[in-house]
Amino acid sequence: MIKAEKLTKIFRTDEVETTALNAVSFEIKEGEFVAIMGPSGCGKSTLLNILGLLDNPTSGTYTFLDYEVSKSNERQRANLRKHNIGFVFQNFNLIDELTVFENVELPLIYLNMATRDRRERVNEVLEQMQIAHRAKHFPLQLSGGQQQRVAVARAVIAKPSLILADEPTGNLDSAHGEEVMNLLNELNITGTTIIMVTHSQRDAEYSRRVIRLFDGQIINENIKKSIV
Amino acid sequence: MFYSFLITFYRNAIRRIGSTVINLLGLSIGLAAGILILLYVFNEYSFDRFHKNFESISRVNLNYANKDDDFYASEIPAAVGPSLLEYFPEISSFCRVTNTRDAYFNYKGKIVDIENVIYADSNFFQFFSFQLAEGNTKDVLRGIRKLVLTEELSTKLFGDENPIGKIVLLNGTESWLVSGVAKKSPQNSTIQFEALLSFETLYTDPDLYMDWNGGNQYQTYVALNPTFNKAGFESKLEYFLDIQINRKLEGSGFKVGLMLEPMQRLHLYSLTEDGSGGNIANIRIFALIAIFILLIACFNFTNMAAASAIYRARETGIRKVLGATRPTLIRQYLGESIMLSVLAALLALLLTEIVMPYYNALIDKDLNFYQTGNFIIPIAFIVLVIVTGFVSGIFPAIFLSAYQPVDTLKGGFISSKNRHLFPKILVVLQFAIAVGLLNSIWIINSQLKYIREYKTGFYTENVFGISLPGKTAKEKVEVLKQAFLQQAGVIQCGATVELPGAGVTMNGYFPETYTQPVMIHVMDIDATFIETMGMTVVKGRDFDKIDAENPMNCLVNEAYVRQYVASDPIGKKISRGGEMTIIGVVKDFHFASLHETIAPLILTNKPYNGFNFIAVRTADNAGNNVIEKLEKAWFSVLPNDPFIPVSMSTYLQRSYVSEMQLASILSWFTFLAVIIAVTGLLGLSSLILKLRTKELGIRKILGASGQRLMIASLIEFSILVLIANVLAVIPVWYFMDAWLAGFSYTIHISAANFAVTLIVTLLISWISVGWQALRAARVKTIDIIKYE
Repeated sequence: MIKAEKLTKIFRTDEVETTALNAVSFEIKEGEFVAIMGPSGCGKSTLLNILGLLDNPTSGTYTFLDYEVSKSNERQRANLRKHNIGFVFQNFNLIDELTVFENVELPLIYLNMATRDRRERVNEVLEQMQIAHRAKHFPLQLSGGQQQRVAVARAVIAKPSLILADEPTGNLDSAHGEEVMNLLNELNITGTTIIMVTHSQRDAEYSRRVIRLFDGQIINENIKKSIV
Repeated sequence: MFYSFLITFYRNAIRRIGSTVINLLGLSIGLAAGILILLYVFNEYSFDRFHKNFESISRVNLNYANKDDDFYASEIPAAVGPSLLEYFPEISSFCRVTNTRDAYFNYKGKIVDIENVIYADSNFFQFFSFQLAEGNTKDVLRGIRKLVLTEELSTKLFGDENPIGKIVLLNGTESWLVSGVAKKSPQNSTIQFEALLSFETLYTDPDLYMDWNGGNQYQTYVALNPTFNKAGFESKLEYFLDIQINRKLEGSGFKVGLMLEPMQRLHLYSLTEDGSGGNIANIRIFALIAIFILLIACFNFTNMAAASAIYRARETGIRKVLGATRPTLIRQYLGESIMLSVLAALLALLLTEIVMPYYNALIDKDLNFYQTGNFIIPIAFIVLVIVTGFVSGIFPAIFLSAYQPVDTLKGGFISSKNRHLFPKILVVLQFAIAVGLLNSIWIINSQLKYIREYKTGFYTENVFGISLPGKTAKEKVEVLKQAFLQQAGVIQCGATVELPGAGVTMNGYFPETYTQPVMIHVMDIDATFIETMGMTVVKGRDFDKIDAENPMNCLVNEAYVRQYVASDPIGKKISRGGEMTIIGVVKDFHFASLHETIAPLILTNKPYNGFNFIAVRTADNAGNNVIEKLEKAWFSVLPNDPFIPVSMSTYLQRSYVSEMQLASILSWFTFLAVIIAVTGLLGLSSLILKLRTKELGIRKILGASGQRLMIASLIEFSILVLIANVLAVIPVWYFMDAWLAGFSYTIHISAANFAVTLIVTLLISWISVGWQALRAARVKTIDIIKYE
């Protein structure tokens, strides 16, 4: 599903050049649950942004679903993204002005789905995430755990084949964190590929493979034998 | 998708209700101001276009030229029209009207005095598109002593009675037959009347010149055939004028020319000095103000839209992550700004409706946004609203949607370099416009004050001009003067044909040694007028009572002496159908408005057709009831003639009506412009300070005091205001210098004007930015950590 070859990302300002990713290569197959770990500033989030088609690498190639996307433009990336990738962020990134229902509905609007189908699908996912009773609330009226559940609901609404999670439990207490990890795990069991950036060893336990980054390079790949 | 946009728009607007209201108000005030000014401008342009065939109608102006003078007159001899019709096949008809004059009507003892009575040719209602309520367009003005009244005047005179066939007395002596009732002349008509008198009647007065040789008091309009060819017409004109008049003037130095002035140009572009009050220069100023105010409002709106977009950077990022493409986002932001501008437009219409009555009173018009048949303004308005929404939305839309979603999510957009440059440029521009208007209005008001206080050379306070409307009144001048003098508080009175201050008539005279006549202003006054008005005789003597028996003496002003007399003026001669002797020189006084320099003037004591006014000077302490006393005295002499007084100061102001209108309109709209510009500054400062919360907090953690932070913020905004002031100087100087050139006596534009405006605008900006800067400077460091 994903093939990264010598992915390099260099951030340049007027005077400083920072190499965030240095010739990183790896492959991820469909249905995998991969955790990316490493200390702050090692390039985890940069890698996730490139994998999520939010950013382009400076050099190297990135093949996603058989498309070479490292040089593609914003429109092409947006198109691939909205059909195939769901995002879960540490700080949830919900739109404060939209209700839970409207937030979850948003990706389907950009897919131009018919209103009735949209409504059905949103209700279905909200039920699935056990957040349907909060459908008319605004994000700021919810607890962190509930907000992240909404974010997960939004990530899965378009039935993406890949979910990218950036520290999904970083802002949650352990009970809510576990809830979210269980949700992700269930999604993985039903066939969704999941790539998760995390600091937490506990969260990483849910994955089948851990990629460790240090100073923009992969220092260790650890494949587990079984699902936790 | 549209519904989702709408919801987001609505919730965002409500969430930041303060800035939404500022934004809406700014634009709606701007749009309302724009509508009001444009209505005025359109109205001025619409003058005389209601006549069905206005494009083929022209007014005939004569040009009088000799070596000293060259001017156009619209009041021309009565014979010009008929001669043109006879000689030129390209002219299909003509219609003559006299200038408006005061008169009073008397019906069964009921007296109504009016200001607008004119003589008009019998084809008046066929030639022009004025409407008759009763009577036949073909013959209401045919015959002698036929009278057409407006509906309003008819009601005043006759109440509910049918006026047709009734006889009324004009000015107490002449009987006229009411033959028709006309609808009120449209407000945008150069020709205004309350009553029309049949022109044929003039031919029965043996004292009137009705040929080419004099009586320059008839405005003549001609209708041109569709085949009219200007070059062909002009090629024949020389010969035509030659046989009609110029041959007779040979040797006089005078030459008469003729010019056709298209009907639709009379109001704003007339070359003659007696135009109907419109002034294309003022109209251009108004149009400029409208454009400026709209620009300020648009800049403001754009800035606020940009500000709101920056607040919503994160939302934009999320939408992008979720699959929104750039065109989708551009459509969303554009849609929002167009929706906001439509809302502002509705508010603007409401505002316009509310202020319309006051505005109409201010400009003395009867304007209405929904004028029947005028689709240009509503269409222009709709286009304006959409363009405003589009222009102000397009920058933030393109700006914001161009960023990488990662940057907007991380706040990279907000911290990008030069992030405030664009809004700062807009604020500087809108402030520059507001400053420019402030400076201009200050200069205009200073000039008007200067004129009001300018020494005219005669008393303007405590002086009244009492009209002598009819023959009886004219005959009783001396009796009236005596009756006035007997009233307590009356110091002196004197009679004159024309009151000074608004210009007086001209005639051709031969100063001593001159073999060709020159056009010189002339006032006919009696022996006590000079003393009444406080004018000074600097050489020789004033008229005395004996001179009244000897009408061959005259006075001149100093300007006359400077121009026409080489040595001692006393005893010098002036000829015009007889020889007059100069007996005294009067110190120069402003008999015309301050638009003109003081020209040579002859003062005679032989009025051609009797005096028209008695000037009465009263004591400072004469009290408020002095007018009542004069009225009582008047009716004791003339019980059946109307008493029509005018104070000298009011009379003088009439010369500056268009300037005063300009000043009051400009004042109001400048006020609005400043308000909008201040809201723009508020918007910008709240944006910048909000985005700098982190910076300010860190500075505070590092030891900066709140006071220091606040001063630093104020200095930053002061620099913008300073730049705006500097930008405004040159255009204001240029335009105001051009405007002042229309006056012969003017103030000087000084650097002080600009300095004071700078201080005022700095103060305004400090007040409006100050509290926000204070709030920002008081930021708690703990909040900064949260912000991170």
